[in-house]
Amino acid sequence: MIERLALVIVLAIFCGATYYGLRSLHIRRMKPAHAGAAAPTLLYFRGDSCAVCPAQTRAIDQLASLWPDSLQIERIDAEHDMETAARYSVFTLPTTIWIDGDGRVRQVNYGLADADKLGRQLSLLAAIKLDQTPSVLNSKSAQSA
Amino acid sequence: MADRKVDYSTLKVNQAFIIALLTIAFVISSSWLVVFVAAVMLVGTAAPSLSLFKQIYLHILRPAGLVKPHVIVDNPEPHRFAQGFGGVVLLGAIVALFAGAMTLGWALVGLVVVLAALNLFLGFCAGCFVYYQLNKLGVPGFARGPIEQGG
Repeated sequence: MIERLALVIVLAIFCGATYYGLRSLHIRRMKPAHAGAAAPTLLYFRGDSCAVCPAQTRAIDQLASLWPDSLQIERIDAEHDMETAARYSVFTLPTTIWIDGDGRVRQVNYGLADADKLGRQLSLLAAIKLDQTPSVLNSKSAQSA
Repeated sequence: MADRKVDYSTLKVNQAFIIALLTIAFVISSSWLVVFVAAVMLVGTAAPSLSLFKQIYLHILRPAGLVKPHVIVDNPEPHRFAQGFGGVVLLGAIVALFAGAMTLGWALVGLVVVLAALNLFLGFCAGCFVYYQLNKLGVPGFARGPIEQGG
């Protein structure tokens, strides 16, 4: 039993370290872009075959409606614009990538990132004060359930 | 389509229980715990209202404020299919374990853990992906396609 527990712990640490290491490497390897943009930019890679992309689109639309002047959004169809997808090493959809005002890649999300998560990441990038907290977004979602 | 919603917190709680219980089963070498998890998954697939982990979320975790609801417009069918697929894989694991093929059995359990972890931590539902591919191929029984924006 001790051996199995140790194996599980080692595997969990290995998987976690591999994931965060690869993600950090992925962010560092992405070349700077959109230099000089006044506001943070969100690159949103989507595709027609991506089942959760409609949900991601709604989350991004919700984010944009709450903070219309605080960010720029670029929607990229990764299945048609493969050059841009390859440039950012996109391997799963949806993928959202945050680029700061200096054009540096700061954060990447693999898979669905909800509006709360994107809002928290935006607040860190833009150092803006959230007028509407994530709890408001959740309560709105719960009411419509 | 606006009335087709899925509380993703229910799914996450379900995945967390599956991962935790199957990991414990491996550590203490308990095939019966694998049987229990498989039963919960398959019963939950056949009758979602009877899902034990969902009931724990609805009646304990959510009222206690430990887990907040996260409702998203989505089809529930692919997620049910994913859970059912995981349950079937666990059935295979159970057969292997009780037949003495321990390595194969625990490898299949590990596969379910990995797929659940991919969903829980990376938001990638392998079963949902398979469901939608079967939908695109027009396979009977896989009638729901991805909900488009505004739909």
